[in-house]
Amino acid sequence: MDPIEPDAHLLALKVMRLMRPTLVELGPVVSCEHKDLVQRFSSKPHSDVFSGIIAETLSAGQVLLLPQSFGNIYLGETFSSYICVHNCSPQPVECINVKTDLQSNSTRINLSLQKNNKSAIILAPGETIDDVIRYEVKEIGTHILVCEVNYTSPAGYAQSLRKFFKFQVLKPLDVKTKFYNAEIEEIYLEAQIQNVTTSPFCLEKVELDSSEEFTVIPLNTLPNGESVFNTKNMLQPNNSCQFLYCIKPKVQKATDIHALRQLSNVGKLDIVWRSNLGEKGRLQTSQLQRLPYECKDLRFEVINALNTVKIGTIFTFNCRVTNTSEHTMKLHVRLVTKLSPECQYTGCADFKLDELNTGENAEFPLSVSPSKLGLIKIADLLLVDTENNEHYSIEKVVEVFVVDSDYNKDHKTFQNRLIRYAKPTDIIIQSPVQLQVV
Amino acid sequence: MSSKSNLSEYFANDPPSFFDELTNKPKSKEIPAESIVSGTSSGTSNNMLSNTFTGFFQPPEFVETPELEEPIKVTDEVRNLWELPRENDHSKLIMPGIHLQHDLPDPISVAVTQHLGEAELANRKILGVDDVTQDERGLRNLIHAGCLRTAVNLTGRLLTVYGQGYGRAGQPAKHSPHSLQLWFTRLALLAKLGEFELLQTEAEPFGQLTAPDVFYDFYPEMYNGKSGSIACFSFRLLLAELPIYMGKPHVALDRLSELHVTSNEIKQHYIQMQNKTAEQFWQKRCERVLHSIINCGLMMKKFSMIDDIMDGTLLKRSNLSKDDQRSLYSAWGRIYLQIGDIFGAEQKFAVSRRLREMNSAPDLRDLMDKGLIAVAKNDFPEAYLIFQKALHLDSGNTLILNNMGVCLLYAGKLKDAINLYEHAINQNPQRSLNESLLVNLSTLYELESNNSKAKKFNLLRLINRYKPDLNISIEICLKLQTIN
Repeated sequence: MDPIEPDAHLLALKVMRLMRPTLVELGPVVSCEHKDLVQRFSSKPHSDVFSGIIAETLSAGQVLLLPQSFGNIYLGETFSSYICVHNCSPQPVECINVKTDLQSNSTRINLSLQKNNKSAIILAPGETIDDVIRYEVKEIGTHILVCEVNYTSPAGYAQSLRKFFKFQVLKPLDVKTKFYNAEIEEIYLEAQIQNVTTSPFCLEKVELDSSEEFTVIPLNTLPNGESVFNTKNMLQPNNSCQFLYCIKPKVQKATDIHALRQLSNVGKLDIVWRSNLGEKGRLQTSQLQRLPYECKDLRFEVINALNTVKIGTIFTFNCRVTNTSEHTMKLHVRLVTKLSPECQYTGCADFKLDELNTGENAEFPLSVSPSKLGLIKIADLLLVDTENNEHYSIEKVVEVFVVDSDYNKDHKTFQNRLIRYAKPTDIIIQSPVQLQVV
Repeated sequence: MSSKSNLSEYFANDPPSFFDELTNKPKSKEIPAESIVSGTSSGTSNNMLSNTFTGFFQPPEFVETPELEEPIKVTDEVRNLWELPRENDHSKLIMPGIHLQHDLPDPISVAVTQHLGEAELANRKILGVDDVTQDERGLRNLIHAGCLRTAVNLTGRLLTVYGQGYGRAGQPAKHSPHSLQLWFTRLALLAKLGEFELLQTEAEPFGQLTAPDVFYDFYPEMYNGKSGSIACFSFRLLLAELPIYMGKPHVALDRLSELHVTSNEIKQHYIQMQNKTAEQFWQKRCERVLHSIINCGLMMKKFSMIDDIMDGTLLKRSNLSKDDQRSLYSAWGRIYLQIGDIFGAEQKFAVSRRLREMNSAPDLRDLMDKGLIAVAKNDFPEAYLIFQKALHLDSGNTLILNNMGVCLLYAGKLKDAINLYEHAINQNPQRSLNESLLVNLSTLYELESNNSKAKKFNLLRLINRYKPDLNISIEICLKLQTIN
């Protein structure tokens, strides 16, 4: 097959990318008032759909305009393109076969024209084969649309016409995640999504699709069901916004600390956005990994404690210690109180707990007598594992608000469960997240 | 691609067309226009492919209507009230002048001469300056007929009578309500025509109309101690908006904000005076300025600002008519659509719909809004059907036909889209040959075949016959720059 000049071909091949049309206004808005020399500058009142003063002066757009350039295309968007093969010769052309492929750095996908399902077509002079091809782009980087038209010349020779259209697929979003371990059962995920395109878009959906072991409570709506963001979820270029999720293991898993430790796949973020006139894109993050717990040997919880007490009364609270290590522990509990005028409470403790096997827990009460008004902090609690000679210090056991004895508001409110870890690792991992097309 | 709000702006800095990249070399071997026409039209009965057009531009009947009742009737004093210049500085007087020695050139004639030959110009029979009376009636007549360039030329003649013609810029001038109205009309027409460069040059001496000599107070003996602005409010608004056309919406935003502050102060003044009518009159003006601020916001993509103005001010007015509310909600929804917020847009459209009379059938506005939602949802066949319903309510509406053609292309029906546009043009060329339809049709021609040049030249023939003016250049409209 000899290569021939494109212009010498009997067929013409035309391609146009179909991103969404643009909504525009018919020309500049100029208005005047009743007493002006001219009362209207428009000669064609009937060509506008929207009548009335307001519609004439607000240029919100009402005319659809076809795309006038290739524009940008982003990962997760759908590349659609109009392909048109036209017989520009004065005679019929036979055995036409149109083949379109989209080639990326790693794959080559065939995108067939639906109207081209017959293996060979005859085109009369002036006729066209034309259709829209669509493909959701799944890769960043250079893509080449390869269009090939095979046909038979009137003399019976096989001819081939090829055209290549090269374009770049760009990255639309940056997603960063932070995990916070609130307690062993609860994890908080903060996802930050940044618009790295060149125009504003609207986040239509941001959802955490949890893995089987977890349930997710999105914390992005107000009690009335409205989004915490302003109505549009609109993101200007380079701006970002944060979404917060509370993640809990499903009930049957929650009680088993060992099983819990094995669970690291929390789920995937599913993101749908739309830009100009509804142009849609969709991406999913890779599986998000929760924080590991390996570093902690011991879990300390305050199970019930009043949050307000009167001065001069005894403040008693219950504690629970769980052995989360791999070995047996024998714990010696010491609440150390320095004797000084600054000390906010009196009372100390010094006792031993029974042997704790892996995963077992023990409960004990602690009592102090607050000696100062205001918010006081009970600390430090020392836990010494006499078996392995390890020292654990709980630096912030509990806080309580101490009121005067004539304070008569209801103080029977319990604090939420407070949980501390023996090796408090306030780990915040900020990790880059891989994005992929679903 | 960004969503610009008007067509001429959209093309202001048009990068090389997509088709430049597509075709690796110019189609040098394209068959000349004439031979293509005879070659391909034999099999079809399509008028668009024949160059034997008949018919010409028909100026619509112009009847000077007796002055209509003003919607809100106020005295001249209320209308002309404006912040007086702080000092009567004579060095800052306004000395305008026309910057064109001859008439405004007609780019359509130029293009026709270049591409089709001078003989074709014989078919161009639009109104000339001498076809109308040399006064404001003639001016209104020309504008009514859509002959905006001719109207600009008439303002030139009339201003020359005032001694503010060609070459008079920088020379002392006397301003009257009429001369300033002529200037306003001229500059507004230049804006409408997209002649922004000339507009900026000629508007420059006026500044923001803060000089003392555009106030009655400057001429105490001539106007009997009258006070207030001689320049009309529309003129101030036009000058404040002007940077929008020069691609500097932030400058326009500052100027418009100032205009709004002053207008609002005047409104407050009338609230204190308990002059209800004057208050309403100025309320309208404040709102008009806010509309321009929103248009600015659209260009600058300040969507939160638009929300604040819509929600916090425009829709807050208690005596807003249902129709005005519907207009606002519909426009607001379309702004949401431009950003891609379909849910938000649907909500706004739903409010607009609920404001319609109970049990009445969907009207044009509802159907247009609904069609655009379908477009945003990528359901072009559905959008086409909705626009078609709208067309039943207003057959031959160019705007609806324009949108239907776009839907056809996205539904994979290139030929149908072309036929629809060509049919619309054949039915009523004077009305259908508008800028957006021409750009769309030229785009379709380029996609369809290598014969686009011949077909575009036929469009040029029709424009020559039927179209007094276009507000974007003919080269852009017909995408002629890609040929040569």
